[in-house]
This record gives sequence, C-alpha cells and structure tokens, in this order.
Amino acid sequence: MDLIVVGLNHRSAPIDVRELVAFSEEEVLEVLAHTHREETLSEAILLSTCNRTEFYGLSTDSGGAEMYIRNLIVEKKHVDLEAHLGYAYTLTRNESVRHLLRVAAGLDSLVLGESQILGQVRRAHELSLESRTCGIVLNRILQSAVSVGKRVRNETRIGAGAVSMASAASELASKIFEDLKTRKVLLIGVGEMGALTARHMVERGVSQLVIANRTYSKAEELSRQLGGKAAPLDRLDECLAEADIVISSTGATAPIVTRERMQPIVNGRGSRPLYVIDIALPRDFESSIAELDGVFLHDLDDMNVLVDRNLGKRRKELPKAEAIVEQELETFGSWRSSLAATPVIKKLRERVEALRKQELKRHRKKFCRDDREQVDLLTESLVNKILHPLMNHVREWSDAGELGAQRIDTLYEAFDLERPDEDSKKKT
Amino acid sequence: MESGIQAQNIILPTLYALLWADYALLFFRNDPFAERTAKHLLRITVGAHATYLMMRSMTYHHFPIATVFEAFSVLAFSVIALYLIIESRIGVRTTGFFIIGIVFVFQTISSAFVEAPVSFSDLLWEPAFILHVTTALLGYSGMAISAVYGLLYLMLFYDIKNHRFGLIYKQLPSLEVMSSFTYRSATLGLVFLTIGMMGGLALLVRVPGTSWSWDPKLMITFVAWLIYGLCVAASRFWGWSAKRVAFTAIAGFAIILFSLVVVNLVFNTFHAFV
Repeated sequence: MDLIVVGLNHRSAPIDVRELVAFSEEEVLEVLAHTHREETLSEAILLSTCNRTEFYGLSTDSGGAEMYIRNLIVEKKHVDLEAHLGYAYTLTRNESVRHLLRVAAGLDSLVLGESQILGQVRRAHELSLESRTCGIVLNRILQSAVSVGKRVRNETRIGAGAVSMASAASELASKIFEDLKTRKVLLIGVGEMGALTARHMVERGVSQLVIANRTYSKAEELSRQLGGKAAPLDRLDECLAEADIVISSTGATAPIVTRERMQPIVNGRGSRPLYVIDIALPRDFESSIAELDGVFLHDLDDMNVLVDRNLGKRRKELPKAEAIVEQELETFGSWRSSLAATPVIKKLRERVEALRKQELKRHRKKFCRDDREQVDLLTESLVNKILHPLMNHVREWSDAGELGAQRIDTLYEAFDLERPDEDSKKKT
Repeated sequence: MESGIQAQNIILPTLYALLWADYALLFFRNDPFAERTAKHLLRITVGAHATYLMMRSMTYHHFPIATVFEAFSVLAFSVIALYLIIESRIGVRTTGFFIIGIVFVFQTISSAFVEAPVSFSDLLWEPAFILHVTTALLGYSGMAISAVYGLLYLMLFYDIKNHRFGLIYKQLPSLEVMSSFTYRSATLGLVFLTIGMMGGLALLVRVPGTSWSWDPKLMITFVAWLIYGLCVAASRFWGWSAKRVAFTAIAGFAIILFSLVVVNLVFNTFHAFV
C-alpha cells in the first residue's frame, strides 16, 4: 500500500491553471465522498490552497490510483486533461510522504517558511476525517506532517523576519513604535503596493488610517475598503503633522514633499517621531528629508535590502529544516514497517497457540491432574523458544525495511496462516 | 568566614563571567540553552552577590563601602538587582548582555583589588549613613542603567536611520521601549540620588567634626544630579527628543564614573572612610 500524490503548485503551474483546479471546502468534501464510495483509494486527502492543489491517496496500485485522481480532477473541474494536467506532478512511495512533510513545514511554499500552510494542512486533515477517507496510515502521516511543521518553526528560524514589502514596512514601524495600535497612518496615493502596505498596517490594528489622493473619489473608495477616511491632497501638510506613519506611493514624476516643505512640519511635531515609507518610483519624498532629526525615511531599496536579508537568513535555515523532515520520515518509515510486521506476528502467535492448546486438549487424559499444569508450562516454554528466533528475524527485517511482500507471503504460506483480507471476508 | 569571602572573590566574578557569556549567547545566537538558563543563572548570581555583601558586613563590622573597591561591589549589586527587576517586569532579555557586561567589569575590579579595611570610620555602621549610601548607590545604578539604555537607543536609532539591519536592529526592542527605559531609569536614579544627597546633607549637620566644604566628589555628584534633573525635566516638560535625552543620560553617567574613580584615587576628599 503506497501513498501517491498528484498535484500542481506555484512552481509547476501558472496562476491561471492553478485557479482552474482550486477546490473550495464544499468541493473537497464532495470529491472525498466520491473517493469513499469508489474505493479505488483506501485513504485520501485533498489539499487545496491558493498556491497548490494536491490529491493524496493510498493504494496498492499506483498507476491506477494516478489515473483515477487525474480523471477525478478533470471530471470535477471540467478541465482539459492534456492542456492543464500537463502541469501536474506525481510522486509515489517515500517521495510523496517527504513532499507532504516539506509542504507542512513551509519548505515548498512560495514564501519560504510561511506558517499559513500548517493551518491549511490541518484543515485538509479535518475534512478528510469528516469524509471518513482518513485511515490509520494517512492519519499517521498527517500527524507527522503537523509535528514537522511545529518542530521546524520552533527549532529553526525559518519563519523569522519579514519577507514581503508590506510586512517589512510593518516590521520597521514596530522597531520605532512600541505599539502600532495607538498609531495614525497616512497613505498618500492609491497605488496597489501602497494599498497593500496600508492594509497590512490595518491588520496590525493601527488606530487610524487617512488616505490622501489627488482624485478624492478614489481616496474615498479605497478608504471604504480599508476602513479609513479620505482627505484631499491639498490638506497634505495637516495630515503629515498628525500622522505617525506615512506610506507614499503616488504616480508623481517628481517629489511631492521637499525638505523645505517638511522642515516646518517636523518642527511643529515636537519630539514625536515620523516614519515615512516611500515606495513610489520615482520617489515622493526628497531623500534629504532623512537627515531631519525626527524623521525615519525608507524607500523601495531599503525595503528590498531588509526582505532579501531575511530571505537569505531563512535559506540558511533550510539544512536544519530538511534534517527535521528526514528524521520524521525515518520515524514514519519505522512505524510503517512495524505496521507490516504486526499482523503476521500476531497471526503466527495465534496459530501456534491454537495448535498447542488443541494438542494439550487431545492428550489431556494421558496426564494426571497434578501434571497437567507442568505440561502446560513446558509446552508454552517450548513454543516460545522455537518461535523466538523467527520473531526476532521478522522484527529485524521490519526495522531494516527488508520485510517485503515476498517474505510476508512466505510466512503466511509456510505456517498456513489466514490473511487479513480473508478474515474480513469471513466477517462479512 | 574570611576564607569564605576570599572564595567568593573568585566565585562571584566567575558567576558574572558565566552570566555574561550566557547573555552573549542569547544576544548573538538566540541560543535556546541560554534562553532556558539565563533567568535562573541571573537569580543565582544575584543571590550569591547578596550573600557576599552580607558576609563582608558581618566579618568586618561595617557597611561595605569603606574603600572604592567595596563601593564598586555594592554598585555592581544595585545595578544587577535593578536589572533583575526590569527584566522580570518586561521579559526582554536581549539588553541584559550590555548591563551584565558593566556589572562584570565592576565586580571583577572589586574582587581583584579589594582588601580587608584595617581601620574605618564609626559612621559606616550608622543606619542614617547606610541609608544615605544605599540610596546614593541606587541612584548611581539607575543612572548607569539609563546610560546603557540611552547608548542602545542611539545605536538602534542610527541603524534604522542609516538602513543597517544588523544584530542591534534584530535583537533590541523598539526605539520607543528603549527611550522609555532610558527615561524611567533616569527618573528612578534621580529620585534615589536626591534622597541620598539630602541624607548626606542631614548627616553633615548631625555628625560632629564634619562641615560643608567644596568637596570634589560632592560637587561632581551634584553636577551629575543637575544633568539628570535636566534630562528628566526636559523630557517631561520641554518635549526634548528621545535622542537628546539619551545623549544627556550618557554624559551624566560619564561624570558619575569620573566622580567614583578619579576623585577617589586622586583627590583628598572627606568621602573616604578608611
């Protein structure tokens, strides 16, 4: 029984293809219910996020399972198999387990080390439990994945430092101000990057957001979306005097705030610091404004330096994170092997014990009452001594991953043991 | 007990060295072992230092400030005790490396050169005198901590201004927190030093044989008091920037160091009790 994954992600497919095969939670439940009915896969889980759609299934026939998953995606999402699923990848056996562990650890994410994916993996696990497609093996793999995700975040610094422009701006602001919740933010212009940075600040809980723009109606529209208030650009000096953090991203071709304009505003602020994030190109604030005492001015290049530095640091943590993945993979491998050995050991013990008891019963009358207990102990000890080396071998093969299907078959045949599937047939 | 004191003169600097190394690991490497042990090692060291000062008081029958090296140890203790309170309250350990560095230097110098005083003034066992000295040293400690935080504030300030996102940027709390520490510890230092100076003036009146004089240590301490007074008042009432407050706090502490070291060694002052 092998784990197979068929999927596509930000590396293998462009966004328009990823959009086509993205599944909502309702669709995930529907697909898993279908899988449960069909029984091609004994266990299944579907992970669908903005950067990946991955279908994991457990099957004895990898080839058949792959075709089944591909056809299921084509059927449910109505996509052209050749045109779209050419972007898909398939991984089997150890590679598929390793892949899931790396995904949960954020090592396969677009932004290395991001933590959102761990929550998404947990949610996918919950949905498969709800759909009853998560059995003993997938459950164990997902537990390992969550454990790896936690360990990687706790034992390495792969998630440390801002790695987007918006989060870098927030990080810098929080190095100046203790609590952003008491701060007023001024957004100049309604450019996409500025709006994104302002949204990030709003999510961090800033007390007030004012949006100043040349076209007042656009400022009003964005302020409705972000929960701020609009101001006309001719009130800019007043807004600058009140703000603690300024994000500027206009399309102006020359600086809109000169040092001469800024000097009296800074003088009027007393000891209150002002943090200016100028992400416009060309820049909106004259660079010499940075020399004013109470002003911290950072532009696009400064943000890039911080982001690159943090990304570099995250990359340095990769070997530690990969080592954690390998450790967990090994632990899972041992568990998997012991899982294969457990039924045959159990069956063998049951078979021999049954034979022993049967023979004892048959010859019961040949022994006096006092000797029966001794004979029972003697036969039990004899059986244990005969079985001991065999059991040890089975366990050793299992631990070393050498207990293949052929050896298991030999054991079942040599001792005339009933196979688990024969058992279930009998029960049915 | 004297042999115990001798042993403590080796143990205490060793403990401070270990503590400093632990906080260095924490500051430079975010070491998880250092993170786990720093808190406990700090408490053990403070406890050992308190024991050392008590042993010294009981053995030599005086409050241990008879010599400049004894005063160094008491000053080191009050700085580390104040730092322990700050760390327990705010939970930030990354600034500890800088404070403990100073304490380590003070205690090592003290342990290396301190001797049993042969004779000393009876004043050293007077409760009013002990209160005067304790509050004055707590005042100095507050100012030392204020100066360290002021220095760290300036380092972070210029790193952010000049787009240097290195270790200082990564490890220190925000500028606002640093400026708040600078101001609060300066205020605390000023309050204690004020009490200490008033206590000193009261002793001057009460104790026979002493009278007002233009004592250099007293004068320099008074100048430091004025500087810290200016620092606190200007920050609170005149809207001084955090940067200016930080510079002033550092200047004030430089004067205190001068008062403690140079004046004790060079000038003949009535603030010597041996």
